Amino acid sequence: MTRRVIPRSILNIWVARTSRMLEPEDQEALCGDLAESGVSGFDALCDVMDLVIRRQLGSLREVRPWLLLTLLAIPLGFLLSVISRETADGSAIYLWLYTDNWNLDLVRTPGYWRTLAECLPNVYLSGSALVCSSLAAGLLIGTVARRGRWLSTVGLISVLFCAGTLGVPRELSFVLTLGRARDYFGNAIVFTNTFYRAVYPQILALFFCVLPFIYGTNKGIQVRNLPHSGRFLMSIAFVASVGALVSQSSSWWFLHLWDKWPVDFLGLPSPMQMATIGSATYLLLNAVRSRNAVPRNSRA
Amino acid sequence: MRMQLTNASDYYHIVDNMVGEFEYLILSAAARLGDDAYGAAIRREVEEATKRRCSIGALYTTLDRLQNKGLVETWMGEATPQRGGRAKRMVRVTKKGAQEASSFYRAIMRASRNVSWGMQ
Repeated sequence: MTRRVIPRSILNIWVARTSRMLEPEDQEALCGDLAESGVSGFDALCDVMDLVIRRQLGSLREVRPWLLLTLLAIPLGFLLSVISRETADGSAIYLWLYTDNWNLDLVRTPGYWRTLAECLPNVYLSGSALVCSSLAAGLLIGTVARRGRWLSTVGLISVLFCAGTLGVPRELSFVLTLGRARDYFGNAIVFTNTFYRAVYPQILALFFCVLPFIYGTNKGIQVRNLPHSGRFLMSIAFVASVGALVSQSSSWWFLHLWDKWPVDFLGLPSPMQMATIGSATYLLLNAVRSRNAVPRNSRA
Repeated sequence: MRMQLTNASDYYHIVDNMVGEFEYLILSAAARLGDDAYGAAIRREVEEATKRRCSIGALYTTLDRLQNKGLVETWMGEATPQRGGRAKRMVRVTKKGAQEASSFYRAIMRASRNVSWGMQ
């Protein structure tokens, strides 16, 4: 059925994309074998999926993926769920204000535009920090997890949605500022709407956390291929990004110490901006690597 | 010559290192191909011998297992134009691999002695 319905060219794109889930040497040898045997389309996709599934199942017998799941993926999942929920709640108030309540009289009011100009940079910064944090977490897991990264991916996404929906365990409330019950302060009316209370946070978690994270885990293999200096830079960037992620859920973040005297005198950037360092460093190093790479056709 | 097992660890050592039938097929194909043994060529040999489709997933995971047992060595070879500029995963049977394959072959021959399957 699939052979007839889906064009061969689309299947070949899927083959190329699926093969990226393999280790670079496996991908190289497998794609070469398929090209040499003249196998393409559905049969090639079955071959690639077969090897990917066998590799992932085989990795479950090793200790490393389970250690990474416990020590890295689950804690990062909790952190991302907290920050994702905070970002969703923060932006939901403005979204409600500007989409559910606008009218022509309000648009003519200067205060309407002034508040919009004030809130947009904050919403943008929160959103980009969340995307970058998720991407950095994905890159980190993709770099260190090798074959078992899908176990960590499933673990992190499960924790992200479960913690976001059910709340964070009470035992963790001293490090994670979001409790089981959210306090909406004076904005409770926004969250009486089911969309802003339940649906919007999940949409935000999907597009701002899950998709960048999965992209990062797939690209993490490329970080391992960087030279030593590149990997050293990425390590520092990972620490900065994950540090920013942790700081956003700690009491240090809650107290906004960098806004208080005498720290504010130094003009330090907020840790939220540090979250973008991991992703920015990766994009920079990848651009340099791509520029210096030898085209594939010239290797043969 | 009959093998003497002195204790349980001898038995488990033999079971752990025993070559399976698919492993034997791959060892035989790699030995026959010699310096030209690599993934796609071994797959063709196995399919020709068994008259069945051999999945690449099964082939590569079995090659990994054989490598972990020290029965084969693998390394990335050179890229060729007919492979779209992709490198081959080259395979060489080790001395231990040849011994284990030979041992498996002798065991099958012994087990098959005086047996008629009634096939035409």
